[in-house]
Amino acid sequence: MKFAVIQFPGSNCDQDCIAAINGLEGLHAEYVWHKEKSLDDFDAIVLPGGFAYGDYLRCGAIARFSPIMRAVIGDARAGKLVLGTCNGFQVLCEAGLLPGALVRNRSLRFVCDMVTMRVEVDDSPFTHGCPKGTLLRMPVAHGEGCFFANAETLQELNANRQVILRYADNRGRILPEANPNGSIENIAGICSRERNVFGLMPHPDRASDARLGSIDGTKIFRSMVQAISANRTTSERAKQVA
Amino acid sequence: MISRKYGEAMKVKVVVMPKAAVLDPQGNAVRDAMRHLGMPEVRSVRIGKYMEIDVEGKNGELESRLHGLCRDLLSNPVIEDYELKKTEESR
Repeated sequence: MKFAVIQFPGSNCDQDCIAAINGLEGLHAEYVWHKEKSLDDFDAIVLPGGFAYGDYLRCGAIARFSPIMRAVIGDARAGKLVLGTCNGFQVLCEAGLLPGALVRNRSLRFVCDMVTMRVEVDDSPFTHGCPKGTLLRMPVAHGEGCFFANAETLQELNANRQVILRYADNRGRILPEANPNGSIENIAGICSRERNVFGLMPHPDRASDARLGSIDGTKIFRSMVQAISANRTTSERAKQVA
Repeated sequence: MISRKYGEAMKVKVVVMPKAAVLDPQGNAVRDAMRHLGMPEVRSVRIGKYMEIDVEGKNGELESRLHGLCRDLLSNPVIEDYELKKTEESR
Protein backbone atom coordinates (compact mmCIF):
# COMPACT_ATOMS: atom_id res chain seq x y z
CA MET A 1 0.00 0.00 0.00
CA LYS A 2 1.45 3.34 -1.03
CA PHE A 3 1.06 6.69 0.73
CA ALA A 4 2.06 10.03 -0.81
CA VAL A 5 3.66 12.68 1.41
CA ILE A 6 3.34 16.06 -0.26
CA GLN A 7 6.36 18.36 -0.06
CA PHE A 8 5.62 22.05 -0.27
CA PRO A 9 8.45 24.56 -0.12
CA GLY A 10 8.58 25.08 3.64
CA SER A 11 7.20 21.69 4.71
CA ASN A 12 9.36 20.43 7.57
CA CYS A 13 7.63 17.32 8.86
CA ASP A 14 7.75 15.49 5.55
CA GLN A 15 10.64 13.30 6.72
CA ASP A 16 8.86 12.55 10.00
CA CYS A 17 5.81 11.39 8.04
CA ILE A 18 7.89 9.23 5.69
CA ALA A 19 9.74 7.63 8.63
CA ALA A 20 6.54 7.03 10.60
CA ILE A 21 4.69 5.44 7.68
CA ASN A 22 7.64 3.38 6.43
CA GLY A 23 8.07 2.06 9.96
CA LEU A 24 4.74 0.24 9.66
CA GLU A 25 4.50 -3.18 8.10
CA GLY A 26 2.99 -3.37 4.63
CA LEU A 27 3.14 0.36 4.17
CA HIS A 28 5.32 2.41 1.90
CA ALA A 29 5.50 6.19 1.69
CA GLU A 30 7.01 8.39 -1.02
CA TYR A 31 7.66 12.10 -1.32
CA VAL A 32 5.64 13.97 -3.94
CA TRP A 33 6.90 17.43 -4.86
CA HIS A 34 4.20 20.10 -4.92
CA LYS A 35 4.74 20.76 -8.63
CA GLU A 36 3.61 17.26 -9.56
CA LYS A 37 0.14 16.95 -11.05
CA SER A 38 -1.02 13.41 -10.38
CA LEU A 39 -1.47 11.17 -7.35
CA ASP A 40 -2.98 8.26 -9.27
CA ASP A 41 -0.30 5.82 -8.06
CA PHE A 42 -1.15 6.33 -4.40
CA ASP A 43 -3.72 4.82 -2.05
CA ALA A 44 -3.70 7.73 0.38
CA ILE A 45 -2.35 11.27 0.65
CA VAL A 46 -0.61 12.93 3.61
CA LEU A 47 -0.11 16.70 3.90
CA PRO A 48 2.69 17.17 6.44
CA GLY A 49 3.42 19.89 8.96
CA GLY A 50 5.69 22.87 8.45
CA PHE A 51 5.39 26.37 7.12
CA ALA A 52 4.40 25.95 3.48
CA TYR A 53 5.35 29.09 1.54
CA GLY A 54 6.49 30.63 4.81
CA ASP A 55 2.84 30.72 5.90
CA TYR A 56 2.78 34.18 4.31
CA LEU A 57 -0.61 35.93 4.25
CA ARG A 58 -2.26 33.10 6.25
CA CYS A 59 -1.15 29.56 7.07
CA GLY A 60 -1.79 27.42 4.01
CA ALA A 61 -3.20 30.31 1.96
CA ILE A 62 -0.61 30.08 -0.82
CA ALA A 63 0.05 26.33 -0.61
CA ARG A 64 -3.55 25.60 -1.51
CA PHE A 65 -2.85 26.90 -5.02
CA SER A 66 0.18 24.63 -5.60
CA PRO A 67 -0.20 22.49 -8.74
CA ILE A 68 -0.48 19.25 -6.73
CA MET A 69 -3.52 20.60 -4.87
CA ARG A 70 -5.67 20.11 -7.95
CA ALA A 71 -4.92 16.38 -7.73
CA VAL A 72 -5.41 16.37 -3.95
CA ILE A 73 -8.83 18.02 -4.31
CA GLY A 74 -9.84 15.78 -7.22
CA ASP A 75 -8.78 12.59 -5.43
CA ALA A 76 -10.43 13.72 -2.19
CA ARG A 77 -13.70 14.32 -4.03
CA ALA A 78 -13.35 10.82 -5.54
CA GLY A 79 -13.11 9.32 -2.05
CA LYS A 80 -9.37 8.79 -1.51
CA LEU A 81 -8.16 9.12 2.09
CA VAL A 82 -6.42 12.43 2.80
CA LEU A 83 -4.70 13.18 6.11
CA GLY A 84 -3.49 16.67 7.04
CA THR A 85 -1.40 17.15 10.16
CA CYS A 86 -0.63 20.60 11.60
CA ASN A 87 0.22 22.80 8.60
CA GLY A 88 -1.42 20.12 6.43
CA PHE A 89 -4.68 20.66 8.36
CA GLN A 90 -4.38 24.40 7.71
CA VAL A 91 -3.89 23.78 3.98
CA LEU A 92 -6.96 21.49 3.87
CA CYS A 93 -9.11 24.18 5.52
CA GLU A 94 -7.81 26.88 3.17
CA ALA A 95 -8.50 24.58 0.21
CA GLY A 96 -12.10 24.15 1.35
CA LEU A 97 -11.73 20.38 1.82
CA LEU A 98 -12.46 20.84 5.52
CA PRO A 99 -14.80 23.42 7.07
CA GLY A 100 -13.66 26.15 9.48
CA ALA A 101 -10.26 27.79 9.84
CA LEU A 102 -7.21 27.78 12.09
CA VAL A 103 -6.30 31.10 13.67
CA ARG A 104 -3.71 32.47 16.09
CA ASN A 105 -3.53 30.61 19.41
CA ARG A 106 -5.62 32.31 22.03
CA SER A 107 -2.53 32.58 24.28
CA LEU A 108 -0.59 34.26 21.43
CA ARG A 109 2.17 31.79 22.25
CA PHE A 110 3.65 29.11 20.05
CA VAL A 111 2.82 25.86 21.86
CA CYS A 112 5.23 22.96 21.77
CA ASP A 113 3.93 20.27 24.08
CA MET A 114 2.51 16.78 24.47
CA VAL A 115 -1.30 16.82 24.45
CA THR A 116 -4.02 14.30 25.20
CA MET A 117 -7.01 13.88 22.93
CA ARG A 118 -10.22 11.93 23.33
CA VAL A 119 -11.58 9.90 20.42
CA GLU A 120 -15.14 11.11 19.78
CA VAL A 121 -15.95 9.02 16.72
CA ASP A 122 -14.68 5.46 16.36
CA ASP A 123 -16.09 4.52 12.95
CA SER A 124 -14.10 6.99 10.85
CA PRO A 125 -11.44 5.62 8.46
CA PHE A 126 -8.87 7.27 10.73
CA THR A 127 -9.97 5.92 14.12
CA HIS A 128 -11.05 2.35 13.34
CA GLY A 129 -9.02 0.74 16.08
CA CYS A 130 -9.86 3.29 18.76
CA PRO A 131 -13.10 2.81 20.69
CA LYS A 132 -14.96 6.01 21.57
CA GLY A 133 -13.35 7.59 24.62
CA THR A 134 -9.85 6.27 23.85
CA LEU A 135 -7.19 8.76 24.90
CA LEU A 136 -4.41 9.49 22.43
CA ARG A 137 -1.18 11.31 23.27
CA MET A 138 0.65 13.23 20.57
CA PRO A 139 2.85 16.32 20.40
CA VAL A 140 1.69 19.71 19.13
CA ALA A 141 3.93 22.46 17.79
CA HIS A 142 2.10 25.43 16.34
CA GLY A 143 1.34 29.14 16.67
CA GLU A 144 -1.90 29.11 14.67
CA GLY A 145 -3.87 26.07 15.73
CA CYS A 146 -6.96 27.60 17.27
CA PHE A 147 -9.84 25.99 15.40
CA PHE A 148 -12.66 28.37 14.52
CA ALA A 149 -16.00 27.74 12.87
CA ASN A 150 -19.14 29.85 12.92
CA ALA A 151 -22.17 28.67 14.89
CA GLU A 152 -23.87 27.12 11.88
CA THR A 153 -20.78 25.17 10.75
CA LEU A 154 -20.13 24.04 14.31
CA GLN A 155 -23.64 22.70 14.59
CA GLU A 156 -23.22 20.78 11.33
CA LEU A 157 -19.87 19.38 12.47
CA ASN A 158 -21.47 18.05 15.64
CA ALA A 159 -24.66 16.83 13.97
CA ASN A 160 -22.71 14.92 11.29
CA ARG A 161 -20.23 13.52 13.83
CA GLN A 162 -17.31 15.14 12.06
CA VAL A 163 -15.44 16.05 15.25
CA ILE A 164 -13.09 13.08 15.56
CA LEU A 165 -10.80 14.29 18.35
CA ARG A 166 -11.07 16.77 21.21
CA TYR A 167 -8.35 17.95 23.58
CA ALA A 168 -8.90 16.33 26.97
CA ASP A 169 -7.13 15.95 30.29
CA ASN A 170 -5.55 12.63 31.25
CA ARG A 171 -8.89 11.43 32.62
CA GLY A 172 -10.67 12.17 29.37
CA ARG A 173 -12.46 15.29 30.55
CA ILE A 174 -12.95 18.05 28.01
CA LEU A 175 -11.70 21.02 30.01
CA PRO A 176 -10.41 24.49 29.10
CA GLU A 177 -7.12 23.62 30.88
CA ALA A 178 -6.60 20.75 28.45
CA ASN A 179 -7.00 23.02 25.43
CA PRO A 180 -3.54 24.08 24.19
CA ASN A 181 -4.63 26.76 21.73
CA GLY A 182 -8.15 27.98 22.47
CA SER A 183 -9.87 25.86 19.81
CA ILE A 184 -13.64 26.15 19.90
CA GLU A 185 -15.19 23.23 21.88
CA ASN A 186 -11.67 21.78 22.35
CA ILE A 187 -11.68 20.55 18.75
CA ALA A 188 -8.37 18.92 17.81
CA GLY A 189 -9.32 17.10 14.62
CA ILE A 190 -12.24 17.00 12.19
CA CYS A 191 -13.18 15.04 9.10
CA SER A 192 -15.10 15.97 6.00
CA ARG A 193 -18.80 15.21 5.68
CA GLU A 194 -17.88 12.27 3.42
CA ARG A 195 -15.42 11.21 6.17
CA ASN A 196 -12.43 10.59 3.88
CA VAL A 197 -10.55 13.84 4.61
CA PHE A 198 -9.15 14.28 8.12
CA GLY A 199 -7.17 17.14 9.63
CA LEU A 200 -5.67 17.51 13.09
CA MET A 201 -3.22 19.93 14.67
CA PRO A 202 -1.27 17.32 16.71
CA HIS A 203 1.40 15.20 15.02
CA PRO A 204 0.74 11.46 14.53
CA ASP A 205 4.07 11.44 12.68
CA ARG A 206 5.94 12.48 15.81
CA ALA A 207 4.10 9.91 17.93
CA SER A 208 5.08 6.80 15.99
CA ASP A 209 8.21 5.71 17.83
CA ALA A 210 8.23 4.57 21.48
CA ARG A 211 11.52 6.44 21.99
CA LEU A 212 9.63 9.70 21.35
CA GLY A 213 7.17 9.02 24.16
CA SER A 214 4.10 7.76 22.31
CA ILE A 215 3.12 5.43 19.48
CA ASP A 216 -0.50 6.59 19.37
CA GLY A 217 0.12 8.16 15.96
CA THR A 218 0.51 4.69 14.44
CA LYS A 219 -3.14 4.02 15.34
CA ILE A 220 -4.19 6.69 12.84
CA PHE A 221 -2.00 5.28 10.04
CA ARG A 222 -3.02 1.66 10.79
CA SER A 223 -6.68 2.64 10.76
CA MET A 224 -6.21 4.19 7.31
CA VAL A 225 -4.67 0.90 6.09
CA GLN A 226 -7.62 -1.06 7.45
CA ALA A 227 -10.11 1.30 5.82
CA ILE A 228 -8.35 1.09 2.44
CA SER A 229 -8.16 -2.75 2.60
CA ALA A 230 -11.82 -3.02 3.59
CA ASN A 231 -12.81 -0.69 0.78
CA ARG A 232 -10.78 -2.76 -1.73
CA THR A 233 -12.43 -5.98 -0.61
CA THR A 234 -15.86 -4.40 -0.96
CA SER A 235 -15.18 -3.06 -4.43
CA GLU A 236 -13.69 -6.39 -5.58
CA ARG A 237 -16.79 -8.20 -4.32
CA ALA A 238 -18.97 -5.70 -6.12
CA LYS A 239 -17.02 -6.38 -9.33
CA GLN A 240 -17.47 -10.14 -8.91
CA VAL A 241 -21.20 -9.69 -8.40
CA ALA A 242 -21.41 -7.46 -11.46
CA MET B 1 3.38 44.04 -22.48
CA ILE B 2 1.85 47.41 -21.72
CA SER B 3 4.43 50.11 -21.29
CA ARG B 4 4.65 51.21 -17.69
CA LYS B 5 5.47 54.69 -18.84
CA TYR B 6 2.43 55.39 -20.96
CA GLY B 7 -0.09 52.76 -19.95
CA GLU B 8 -2.88 53.36 -17.52
CA ALA B 9 -2.48 52.01 -14.02
CA MET B 10 -4.40 51.93 -10.81
CA LYS B 11 -3.48 51.63 -7.19
CA VAL B 12 -5.70 49.42 -5.16
CA LYS B 13 -5.89 49.30 -1.39
CA VAL B 14 -7.15 46.16 0.25
CA VAL B 15 -8.03 46.02 3.93
CA VAL B 16 -8.65 42.60 5.46
CA MET B 17 -10.23 42.46 8.92
CA PRO B 18 -11.13 39.54 11.18
CA LYS B 19 -14.89 39.02 11.41
CA ALA B 20 -16.53 40.19 14.61
CA ALA B 21 -17.18 36.62 15.78
CA VAL B 22 -13.51 35.65 15.41
CA LEU B 23 -11.35 36.04 18.46
CA ASP B 24 -8.52 38.53 17.92
CA PRO B 25 -6.03 37.86 20.74
CA GLN B 26 -3.47 40.13 19.11
CA GLY B 27 -5.92 43.03 19.14
CA ASN B 28 -6.76 42.30 22.79
CA ALA B 29 -3.07 42.32 23.75
CA VAL B 30 -2.58 45.70 22.06
CA ARG B 31 -5.77 47.04 23.68
CA ASP B 32 -4.43 46.03 27.11
CA ALA B 33 -1.04 47.62 26.36
CA MET B 34 -2.75 50.89 25.38
CA ARG B 35 -4.75 50.88 28.60
CA HIS B 36 -1.57 50.25 30.60
CA LEU B 37 0.12 53.14 28.84
CA GLY B 38 -2.40 55.62 30.17
CA MET B 39 -5.37 55.34 27.87
CA PRO B 40 -8.09 53.48 29.81
CA GLU B 41 -10.61 54.92 27.34
CA VAL B 42 -9.63 52.33 24.71
CA ARG B 43 -12.57 49.97 24.32
CA SER B 44 -11.25 47.57 21.73
CA VAL B 45 -8.55 47.05 19.12
CA ARG B 46 -8.96 44.85 16.07
CA ILE B 47 -5.90 44.04 13.99
CA GLY B 48 -6.17 43.33 10.29
CA LYS B 49 -4.01 43.57 7.19
CA TYR B 50 -3.51 46.39 4.74
CA MET B 51 -2.21 45.79 1.23
CA GLU B 52 -1.28 48.22 -1.53
CA ILE B 53 -1.47 46.74 -4.98
CA ASP B 54 -0.19 48.37 -8.13
CA VAL B 55 -1.96 47.16 -11.27
CA GLU B 56 -1.31 47.74 -14.96
CA GLY B 57 -4.47 48.84 -16.74
CA LYS B 58 -7.73 50.15 -15.46
CA ASN B 59 -11.13 48.69 -16.24
CA GLY B 60 -14.10 46.92 -14.71
CA GLU B 61 -12.95 43.49 -15.80
CA LEU B 62 -9.63 43.93 -13.94
CA GLU B 63 -11.53 45.05 -10.90
CA SER B 64 -13.80 42.03 -10.86
CA ARG B 65 -10.76 39.75 -11.18
CA LEU B 66 -9.20 41.57 -8.23
CA HIS B 67 -12.35 40.98 -6.19
CA GLY B 68 -12.11 37.29 -7.09
CA LEU B 69 -8.57 37.13 -5.76
CA CYS B 70 -9.57 39.05 -2.64
CA ARG B 71 -12.04 36.27 -1.88
CA ASP B 72 -9.79 33.34 -2.91
CA LEU B 73 -6.35 34.42 -1.77
CA LEU B 74 -6.06 37.75 0.04
CA SER B 75 -8.77 36.96 2.57
CA ASN B 76 -10.36 33.82 3.97
CA PRO B 77 -14.13 34.44 3.98
CA VAL B 78 -14.55 31.98 6.86
CA ILE B 79 -12.76 34.32 9.26
CA GLU B 80 -12.24 37.63 7.46
CA ASP B 81 -13.96 40.41 5.56
CA TYR B 82 -12.20 42.50 2.98
CA GLU B 83 -12.63 45.95 1.53
CA LEU B 84 -11.17 46.99 -1.79
CA LYS B 85 -10.60 50.66 -2.58
CA LYS B 86 -9.39 52.07 -5.87
CA THR B 87 -7.30 55.19 -5.99
CA GLU B 88 -7.32 56.32 -9.61
CA GLU B 89 -3.91 57.17 -10.90
CA SER B 90 -2.65 57.94 -14.37
CA ARG B 91 0.99 57.95 -15.24
